[in-house]
Amino acid sequence: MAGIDTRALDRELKKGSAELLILSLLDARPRHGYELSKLIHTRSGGQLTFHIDSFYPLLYRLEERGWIKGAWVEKPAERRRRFYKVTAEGRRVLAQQRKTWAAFVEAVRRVTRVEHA
Amino acid sequence: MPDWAREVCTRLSSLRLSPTRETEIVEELSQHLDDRWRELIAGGALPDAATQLTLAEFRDGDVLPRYMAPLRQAHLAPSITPGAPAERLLGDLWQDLRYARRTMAARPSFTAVAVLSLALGIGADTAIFGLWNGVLRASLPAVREPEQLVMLSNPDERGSWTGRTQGPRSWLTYSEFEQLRDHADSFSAIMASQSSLSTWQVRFDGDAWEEVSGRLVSGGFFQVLGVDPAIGRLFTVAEDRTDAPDAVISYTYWQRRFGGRPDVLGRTLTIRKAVLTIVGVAPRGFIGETSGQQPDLWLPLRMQPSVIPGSDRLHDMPPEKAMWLHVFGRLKPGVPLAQAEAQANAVFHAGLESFYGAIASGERRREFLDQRLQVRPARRGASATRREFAQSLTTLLVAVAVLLLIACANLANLLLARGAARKPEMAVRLSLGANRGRLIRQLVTESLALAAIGGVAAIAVAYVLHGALVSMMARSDSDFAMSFALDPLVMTFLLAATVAAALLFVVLPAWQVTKTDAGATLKEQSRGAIGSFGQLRSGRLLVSLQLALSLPLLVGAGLLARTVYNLQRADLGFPAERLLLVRVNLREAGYEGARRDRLLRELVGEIGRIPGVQAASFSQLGVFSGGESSATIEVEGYAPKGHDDHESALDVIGPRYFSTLGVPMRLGREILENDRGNATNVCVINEAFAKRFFDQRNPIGMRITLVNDDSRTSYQVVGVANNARTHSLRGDVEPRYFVPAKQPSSSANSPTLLIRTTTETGPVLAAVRKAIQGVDAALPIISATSIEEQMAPLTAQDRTTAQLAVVFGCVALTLAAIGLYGVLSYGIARRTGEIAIRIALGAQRGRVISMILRETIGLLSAGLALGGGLAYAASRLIDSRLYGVAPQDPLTLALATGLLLLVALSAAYLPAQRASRLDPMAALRHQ
Repeated sequence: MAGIDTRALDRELKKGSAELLILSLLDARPRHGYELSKLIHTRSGGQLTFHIDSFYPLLYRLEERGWIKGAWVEKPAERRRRFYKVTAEGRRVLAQQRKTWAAFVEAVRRVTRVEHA
Repeated sequence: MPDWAREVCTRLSSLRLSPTRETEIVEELSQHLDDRWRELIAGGALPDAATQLTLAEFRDGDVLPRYMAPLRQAHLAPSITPGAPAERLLGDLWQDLRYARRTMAARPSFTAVAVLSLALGIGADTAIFGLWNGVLRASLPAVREPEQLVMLSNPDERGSWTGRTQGPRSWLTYSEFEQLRDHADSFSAIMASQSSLSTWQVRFDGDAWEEVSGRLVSGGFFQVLGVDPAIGRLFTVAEDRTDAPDAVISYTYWQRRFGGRPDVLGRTLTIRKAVLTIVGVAPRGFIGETSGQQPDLWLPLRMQPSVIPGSDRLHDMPPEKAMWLHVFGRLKPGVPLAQAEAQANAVFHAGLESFYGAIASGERRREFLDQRLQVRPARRGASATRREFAQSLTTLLVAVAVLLLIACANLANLLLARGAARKPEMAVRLSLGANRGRLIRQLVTESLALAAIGGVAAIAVAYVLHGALVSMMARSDSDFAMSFALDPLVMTFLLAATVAAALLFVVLPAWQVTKTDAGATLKEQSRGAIGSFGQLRSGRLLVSLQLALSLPLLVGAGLLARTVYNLQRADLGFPAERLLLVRVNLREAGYEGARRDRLLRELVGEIGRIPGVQAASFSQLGVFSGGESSATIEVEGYAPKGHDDHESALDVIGPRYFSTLGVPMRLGREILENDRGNATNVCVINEAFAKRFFDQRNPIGMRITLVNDDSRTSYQVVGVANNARTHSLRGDVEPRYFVPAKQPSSSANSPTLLIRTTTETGPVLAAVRKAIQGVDAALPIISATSIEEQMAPLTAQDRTTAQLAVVFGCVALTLAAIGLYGVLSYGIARRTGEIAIRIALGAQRGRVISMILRETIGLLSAGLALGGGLAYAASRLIDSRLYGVAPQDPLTLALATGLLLLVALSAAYLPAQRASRLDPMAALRHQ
């Protein structure tokens, strides 16, 4: 998708999908903040990137809502890190958001599909 | 390495995050930046370039605070700073209270434990103080100027006596009251009331029969006490002149039975055959002239023959007087008590002269007239319970105060331990300029707030406990009733106990604050040590004190429990089971003389034929009935040693009384059927009588002469019975002689039938009732109980006191154990490093345990040394209540000490185990 100015797209889509992205990555297993942001960047092929000054406030917001829970973990010979995992409530929200997003994508796809003469 | 933390901090500075949260966010974001930087370095970037790229994670402007601002954690409430310089007194107080509220909410389990301990301790104290005050000290409620009331009879006595008496009068007769009322000029008014409370079966307007309690009183009763009716009218002196069938009911009864409706006036009530009309309701809170009782209604004295039939107590036939009334009066202004007493006695003696004058002369006459009145202040009214319960209530008050002290010591220990945890915080605040006095004031406010919550909860505890205690007291005195009242004195006590408790448990922790050396504490903290030696020492002192205070409670409980055990197994001199006691009222049914004797014979015969009945007889006084009878006697060959040395208790009994009861005969024989008709009057004496009046002589065949005012009757002793306890469990058995019922000069108007059964008494009782009704269906049965039921009230008070003492002892022990556990745990936490090093260097786990246990024994020894002295004092306090056990009983002391040791060592074992299981590496790393 070279050449497309994705900044506006990035902003708007990220707003809508950020929570879904984080919840689904944490659903697989607990991760710390840097790992999460790298994973989003890598798996999206570089299309989706979060800055530190918006990413962590997002994590803290999800934590305040009770959808994820953070805990400091100390592993041997390592400094401690804050790992996040999804809660039961978060799983419920994730399932709902996945359905909503899938429905939205399908709707957009139907509207915007190429019409064959 | 770049300082990522500074970059993050700068961007967070505008937010109001809590210090902890801010630290966490800084750490987390710093790690993210550091990971990014290392990744870039690993990818080949130069350090400066990597730094620039990493910092590009932050966008320009205040993006981070803007995204953080909507979050809750970014908005901390305004901080409350203990120790901040004082600005306004009230504002500081409000701040202290808010801080106290936050501290309590932050530690819910500590707050709950503290409030519960305080509520229980203060509530128990208040309940017992309320009872103690109500029974022993309070004035009669709802009475006008009670300090001006006086009594001309004995306030501590309740009951009646028919016959003769000498010395100071317990009760007066109706005629004596009338004489005083009409002629005793030192008094502005005089009234009389029945000294005991009656129980009647009544019917209101044809409703079902119900039971009420009530009292007969003279017309001036309400006027002398100075009360006005709630509705209607109260008695006046007119009630003394006529036989008006009026009744006044109490306020509580009016509310309970009639719903407080005014239409109660004019309603009729029937007692036996008498029909009375309710003319008024006494005021709220009025209980009459006797404390500790709440009668439902009051009737005029002149109704006595109708409502208490069987004897006319309004008229006396010389030489017998029916003494049954309490007499109260109000002195005229300016008349001293001594003068009133002299004047009253002048009237009294004039009456005695005219009553006895005709029938006696000389020495006899002097004896008759040897009676007098004592006029006493009567602010607290009459009360038999006062004397009975005085010592028990005082003992309980002391015990429960000790319990509160122990609870406060526990709280102080908890506060000390918590204070240790907050010491670094205090040290920082002090070093930053906080005012030490403010810190202490804040601690005191916190304690007062905690105590205040406990104090409010204590009211509920006191209410519940009051009800339970009154029920317990009613087990030994069925007339006892007292409602829960938070009068000003009790409220003051509650407040004082709350404040005292708060100050007690805060004084040590607050003192610790004054001794906090900020610099030393901060250095200590950096080394990893917790708390201070001083704190540990205070904690140990408190635990030793708790152990010391627990010992007297345990010893007291042990002594009282053994007393109850001994009382319940007291040797009565006869088997105390399978014995029925049935009291019948022969006089009320109209049986006199020969008819009475025939009836008794018939009753004993019929009952003896019931299957399951081994033997039957009767006695006038019964067994533990509370009644007594005595007479003047002359004993053959015995010279009286003094003026009072020719009286003895006596009882009028039926044939085979002793074999029915199961009392062995030491000499001779017991009274048999044909002793009724014999020409010779016979009697049996008990061992105590034989020892007192016959000493080494053989009493068989000797004569005892009953000396009445108008006759002398001689009895020949035919037998000596073993001593039997039929009147009281304590003290020595009185000398007593027994005469058969038939013989002249004997009476058995309300005898008790004694029925010895071979099986359980329950089923036999029904058959006995049937047999009695078969002989005379209208014969009133006053009471029918087994010997166990009859004796239960005798030990009820001791049982109650012992039960409460055991509860207090257990609670004290539990609190002391908790305190010990806490202090030892705290001490171990403090010495974790030291213990870890010892274990790492090879110390056996067993040695660690024994080190801790040695420390415990040290605490115990100090506690026991002090506790021993307190236990001695406690045992002296309850000395007069003990039975069959000495106050310094070594077994009880040993058991109590042993229990204390066992519990203390058990409480110490857990911390000792924990200490021995320390992982030295983890412990040291943690330091």
